[in-house]
Amino acid sequence: MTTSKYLALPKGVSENRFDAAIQKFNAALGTENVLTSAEHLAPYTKVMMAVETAQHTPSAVVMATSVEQVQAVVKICNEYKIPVWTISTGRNFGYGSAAPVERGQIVLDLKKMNKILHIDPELCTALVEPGVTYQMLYDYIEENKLPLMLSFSAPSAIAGPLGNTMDRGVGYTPYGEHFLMQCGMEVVMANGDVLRTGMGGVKGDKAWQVFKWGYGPTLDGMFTQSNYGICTKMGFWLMPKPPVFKPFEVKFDNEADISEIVEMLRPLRIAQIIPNAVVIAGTLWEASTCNTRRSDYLKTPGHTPDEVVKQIQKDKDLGAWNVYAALYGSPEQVEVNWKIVTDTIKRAGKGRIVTQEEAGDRQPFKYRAELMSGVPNLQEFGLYNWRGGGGSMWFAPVSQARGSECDKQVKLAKTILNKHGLDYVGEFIVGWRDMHHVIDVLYDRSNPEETKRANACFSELLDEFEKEGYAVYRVNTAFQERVANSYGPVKRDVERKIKRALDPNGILSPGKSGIRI
Amino acid sequence: MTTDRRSILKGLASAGLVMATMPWAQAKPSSGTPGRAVHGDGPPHVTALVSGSALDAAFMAGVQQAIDAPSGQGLSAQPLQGLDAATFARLNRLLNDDNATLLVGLIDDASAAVVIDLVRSAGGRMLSVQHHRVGQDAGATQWARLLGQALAATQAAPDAPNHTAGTAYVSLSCMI
Repeated sequence: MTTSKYLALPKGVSENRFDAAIQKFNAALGTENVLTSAEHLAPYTKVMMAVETAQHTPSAVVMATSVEQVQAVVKICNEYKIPVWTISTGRNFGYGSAAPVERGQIVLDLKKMNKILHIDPELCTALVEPGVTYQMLYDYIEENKLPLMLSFSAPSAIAGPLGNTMDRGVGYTPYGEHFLMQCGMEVVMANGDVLRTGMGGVKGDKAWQVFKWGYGPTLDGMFTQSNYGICTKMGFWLMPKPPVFKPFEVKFDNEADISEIVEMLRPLRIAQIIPNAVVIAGTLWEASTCNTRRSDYLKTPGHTPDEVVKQIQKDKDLGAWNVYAALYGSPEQVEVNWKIVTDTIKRAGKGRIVTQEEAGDRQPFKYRAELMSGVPNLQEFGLYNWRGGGGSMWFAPVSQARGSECDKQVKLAKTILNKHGLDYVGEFIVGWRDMHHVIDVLYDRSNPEETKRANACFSELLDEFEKEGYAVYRVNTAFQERVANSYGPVKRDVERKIKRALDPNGILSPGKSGIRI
Repeated sequence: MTTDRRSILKGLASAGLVMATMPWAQAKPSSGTPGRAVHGDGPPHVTALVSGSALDAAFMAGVQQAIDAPSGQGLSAQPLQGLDAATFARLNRLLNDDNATLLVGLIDDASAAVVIDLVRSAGGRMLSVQHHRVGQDAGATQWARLLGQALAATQAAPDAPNHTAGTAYVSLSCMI
């Protein structure tokens, strides 16, 4: 192996040529915005995936502060054929963190483009730059006493709306399908052009953040989970803060109850009696987020036996399944809907309802209620303490919201995880008609043998679920190429043709979602 | 260790995730800790992070020993509340102020995931990050003390007494 002053080099680029590119980045962005030292790059190589960190080591990090600087970066990358991996806040954690999909790519970190450009409290819209975090938005809304509510993913406080939406992340309020609530993008294309989607290209237009479709083909979707452009501004809709917010939990004692739970709740969800995504969390997920560690119960390696899981359930007063949802609206609306919900649960003859008044400040109810009411928190990071060792990969197959899907999926996932000595730490998220089965494959990354097992486990999960007709909606960067195959060769071919047309040098995040020239 | 300082450290440990800041400028150089000097424009501070574990007090004592401040003097504590967002917002503000800071810590994985990302966003340099599995015996306490001492002195961390069934920790050292 040849030695280099850089931690890594872009594929096919010599050190001399990279030197020249770095000089140009320095001139365009200022030396303070170009990082190449191992110490600066270390936090950009940190990955939770079960692969060698070196596979995702960047060659440099560049930071832009304006659209013009993003254009300059793209120009230099084209000139020197440097692949550039763009991040907004880079808080994707179990989906890949800030590290690039391939070794040697430079990271374009847009954290310094962090302006809240516009919030309209009457139309309930926002326009933000990539570096804006949910916490910044929350603080702005609170400081200005705006009657608005945010929707965000669980690492809410430190993640951002632009990155989460571009990766088609979801939240826990009635506006939780984030891409559905997106309205208008500004995108720097590989040739440096600046595209505004929807109404954004119309001179003098004021409807960019209120009318999604514009004229002709609607392009926004093709920029999500893709590498066709760099999003530098994004508009989205905010939910008016309701007069009444009523979160609740329903605890079900038996693992076998899962099918019935979904069948019971789906009609309420589709009819919008329950307007937010219903979360159905398993025991270990709940235990982890209320500060329980596996080592509190077991010192032996391998998966956690069912009897221990049952003991944890009892000790922590958890259900085998713990349902979280909320009602929103006027007092009259909430009263009517609450009666419908409670009557439905009573008819089922099982499930213990817990209200906010009963739960008080107890975790995990507290953080779930916060997520459902747009209050940022970090409580779900407790998952990383369950086994310890820093390894996490989200496995999130999508299915119809039917009870019959659940048993099958839980059994399959648990069998595979346990076979590899890992635990089933999962939850179902019931959307309007779909269901995400979100499983955190947690493992000790400091243990090479366990890391190997976790990698094999994740591969097997993908393979075996695919045989049953399931694919994940999103995946960490180590498995993006693999998952692209699940969606068929024609889709891949079309994506490649688009990529070649828009980015002929293949400089923008090559490999993202398996897309290359 | 004096009773006063011991009680301060016990108080810190019981507060959950704890951040104690020790102004570097107030620390006297001690013999036998070469390489301790921290470069930067302003006087660097040492900020030590712990997260409510059995090794907090030992780690903090090691940090204190490295900077060699007089007992209790120059030691200020800011208790943080577990994974509470406000806690990390405070840390974030500290990382983004104009003062050079050497951040050292012995914390759990969840806290480490957040802290490392905040360091990245603050433009910090990661000097070391290591995962450990540590038991709860006297050897572990001794190791935590030496670790605190080494990290605060920007020296290599001592080898951990590896217990495969022990509690998971992350030690880290960053310059902001």
